[in-house]
Amino acid sequence: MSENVTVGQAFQQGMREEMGRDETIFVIGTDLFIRGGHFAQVKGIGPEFGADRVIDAPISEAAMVAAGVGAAMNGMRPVVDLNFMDFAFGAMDELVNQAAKARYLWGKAVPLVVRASSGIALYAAQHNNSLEAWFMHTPGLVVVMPSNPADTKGILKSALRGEDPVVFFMHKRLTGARGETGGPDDLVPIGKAAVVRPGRHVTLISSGIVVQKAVKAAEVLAGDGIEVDVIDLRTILPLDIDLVMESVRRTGRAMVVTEEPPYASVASEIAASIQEEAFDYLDAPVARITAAHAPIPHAPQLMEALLPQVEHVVQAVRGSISRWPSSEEV
Amino acid sequence: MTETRAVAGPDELIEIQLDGVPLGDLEEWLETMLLIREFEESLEPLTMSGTQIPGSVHQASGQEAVAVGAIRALEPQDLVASPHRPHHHALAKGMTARVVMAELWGRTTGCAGGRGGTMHLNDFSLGYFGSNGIVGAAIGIAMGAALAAKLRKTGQVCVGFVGEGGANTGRTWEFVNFAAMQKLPLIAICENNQYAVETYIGRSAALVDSIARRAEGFGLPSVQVDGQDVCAVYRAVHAARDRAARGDGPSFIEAVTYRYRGHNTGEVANYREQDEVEQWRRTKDPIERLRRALESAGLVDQGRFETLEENARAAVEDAIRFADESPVPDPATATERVTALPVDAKGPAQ
Amino acid sequence: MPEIAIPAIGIAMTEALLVKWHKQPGETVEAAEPVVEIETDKATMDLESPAAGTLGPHLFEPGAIVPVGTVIAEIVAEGAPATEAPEEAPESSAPAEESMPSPTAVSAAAPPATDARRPHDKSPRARRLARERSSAEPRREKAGRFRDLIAAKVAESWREIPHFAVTREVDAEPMISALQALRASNVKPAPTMTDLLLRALALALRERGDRDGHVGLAVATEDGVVIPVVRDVLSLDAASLAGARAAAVERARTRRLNADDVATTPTSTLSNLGPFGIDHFTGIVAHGQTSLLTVGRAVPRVVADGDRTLSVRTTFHATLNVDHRSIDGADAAQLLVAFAEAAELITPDF
Repeated sequence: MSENVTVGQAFQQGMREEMGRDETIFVIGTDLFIRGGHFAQVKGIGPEFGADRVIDAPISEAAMVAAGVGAAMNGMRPVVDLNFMDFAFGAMDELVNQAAKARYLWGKAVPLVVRASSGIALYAAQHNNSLEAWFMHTPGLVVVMPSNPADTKGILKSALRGEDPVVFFMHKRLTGARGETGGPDDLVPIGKAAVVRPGRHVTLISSGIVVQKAVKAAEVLAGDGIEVDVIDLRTILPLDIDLVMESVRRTGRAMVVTEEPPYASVASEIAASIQEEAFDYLDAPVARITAAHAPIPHAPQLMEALLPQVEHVVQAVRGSISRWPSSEEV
Repeated sequence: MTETRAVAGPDELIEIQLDGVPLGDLEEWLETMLLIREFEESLEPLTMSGTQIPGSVHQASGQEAVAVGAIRALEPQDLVASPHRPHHHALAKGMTARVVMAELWGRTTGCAGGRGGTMHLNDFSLGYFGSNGIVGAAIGIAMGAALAAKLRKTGQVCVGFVGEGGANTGRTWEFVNFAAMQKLPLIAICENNQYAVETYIGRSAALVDSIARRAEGFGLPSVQVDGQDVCAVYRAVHAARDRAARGDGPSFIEAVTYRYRGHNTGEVANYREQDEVEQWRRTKDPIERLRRALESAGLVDQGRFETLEENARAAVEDAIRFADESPVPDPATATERVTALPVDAKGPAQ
Repeated sequence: MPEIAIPAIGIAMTEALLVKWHKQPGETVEAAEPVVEIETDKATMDLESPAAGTLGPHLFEPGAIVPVGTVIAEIVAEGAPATEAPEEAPESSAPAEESMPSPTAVSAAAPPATDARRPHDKSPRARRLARERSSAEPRREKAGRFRDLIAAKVAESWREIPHFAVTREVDAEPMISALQALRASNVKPAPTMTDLLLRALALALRERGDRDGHVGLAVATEDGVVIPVVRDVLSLDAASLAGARAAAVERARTRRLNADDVATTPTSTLSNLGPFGIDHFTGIVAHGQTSLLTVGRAVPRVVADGDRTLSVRTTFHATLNVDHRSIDGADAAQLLVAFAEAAELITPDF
């Protein structure tokens, strides 16, 4: 509780505490029992809880997720660990047609957590897909994306005590990010965003690893006298649009930063919602700062060239203020 | 050990033996099979009228023995999940003709409140874990439920049905392999009616004579049975159930059967000869074979049989009337119950 | 590009309500053709197109409260596309500071702007703020804005009008005698020097070709100078003129100018600082007028008569400030002399 741990360790803490509290919780995935997963996310939990609670699966995401769905429908609370979110493609029917629809069709709850490491890092295109929009787009799924240890642990607890199928995104590059965590009953609610750095002039909306870039951009802009309200969404769906709108109504200027490719991104959904609901409060069009529309390549220089960096965010804010100055004395 | 398909003379009904089955239950088996046949045969005009059953449905006329034989071999707490041709499984598992019919009609009194239709029936209180529009998916649900049964030590055995067409999907074998590795209490029943939509199995699989042999390759006890012989199906599933209940893991049963109707209501079948259909009716009709055996054993006479037929007809007529008189769902409820956590549904009415 | 902006009609006007557009974007308009209807404090009027051409986009919608000076539409040349509003934000009474980062940082980072910079008073937020401000405004803030308006107007006059002034010392004794006689005959309300000055100025203007007969009167109020209009001065007898002047002053002090004050632009205005102890002064011609008569105090002064003997007479200094664009030195001189003669010939029975 409240020590300085990594995101990976925070997830372990959460799993350990919840599995101790509720014997219907188990984990299934590849290389979990001994290795603890490809990101050490459940390291040590296998030997501690036994092979019935940490189940090594063959390489079949379809089987893992189907096992999770069926088990969730028969009294358990499974965590399916896909290791890499890119492997979800092999379980798309299980996630979208099975897990997401049982409640709507039958009133049958599927209390399932599907965790995977996500986001842009290494290993090139097939291991660097951004799937948050795919799952946000699927009625029946809940999608979360914590960006720090406290939220990782707290949101995991909320997911494990909830009644919905939750797709749990953890950015690969955040695995080692450090911070404090809460205690055994400190739940972070799903569906609530957080302001990580307050400001009066611009609302900057981010999630996952991009939160760090947004904060760095805010620090640079503070030197210009521009104060940025940085929002960490924490949950993709249900989206905390109320908190976003409250900020935009104050600042009059909104930008969404994401690692996703641009078309039909989560950022697009947020931008559309803001201009629909806060039009009379805007001084400028809502901007999306996204990655480029390309698969992710291997060479780091190529990869970084596709992604939005701190300076892109800074330039976008400055450019917006220059082109559409604020209408209010702030 | 595999059995080969029975070979028949052109006109004779091939008799079945009442071995290894609970004789006192057989009249109920017959009655259920008659209900299924009557139910399935009533559907074609209902889907064609445009005002009764929206869309088409997949009838299982001719496959009654697979459903009844398999499900009668289970215990009450056992679970069943089936694919897109599910009415016979649902009725055999104990769902009433009324709630199934009303669901096909999309009425609130249907087993899914009108939200599921023919491919998404369910009754979790009876252990019917849903029919599924995705081939192979039912085995996955049953496999997951079997995992929970094992972990929670509930004593349940879980049955997942798949067709021979669905047995060509990768997921079917991913599920089977996982169940075998974990020794799950699963019975995978491949209902081989030999036609996947319009494609005869001979054109979709190299190993055309046996799907059970594929399962052997994954390490499961596997058997091919005459799916038109309700007692043969019962015996095979009963043995599989014992195995699963002992903790010896899953089994694979291929039941060779035949559907008299097309893939769905309203189909014009150009892919097979009517002679073939007639031959299966004449030689291996599952209801007639059971009736003949019960008559020979002195368990059900002709009068009793006609009463059972009449019961089935009355039940289906009642179900149709029930569905017709049931309310349609309130459009205002269309966005309810998507997730437990509230999500703004938005949509056209906002 | 020719613009239609909310004019300041009468210096008290701070904003107008946009009532109705008569012409749509893209329509051809003639010079002086009415384009839009606005409503000021007490009057409704049309604004005319300053030039022939095509009307550009409506920058404000009916129902909008628009500050004086704000551009509400542009006239584009036939076929030319309307551009964004001009670089310089027009002076308006709406406070519009920006929180600006240092100019170097902004310009260094700004992306290449293909459009002209969009003034901040056009964003949806700016329009909402303007609506909210105009609907819930305390008097005090209005006074501050009024000062801003005066500042804007005099600055505009100062910038645009090439001023010069001519001065004449005028014998006040005929006016003083006339006033005494009028007071003795109990004319109510009691006339003052200002009334006689108004009449003298009106006479001079008529002699110099002014047909309207209206004169503006500069009135000092607690919020600043207000200029109501005294109409048809020469048609009024002493009592009526006194009443009209008193009413004008009252309107000015309570900031309730009427339609005539707003709609009428006189040729000239009288400003009398004599009561304030001033001998002579120059002033700034009001927007739309061509001259301003500034008058000092009537006090005994030493004068030299034609035969170079000294005597003491009560005199006042009159200065005529003119717009050189329409009035040259000789015209100014003649107008001022006409005023002086009218003043020196005044009688009580006008």
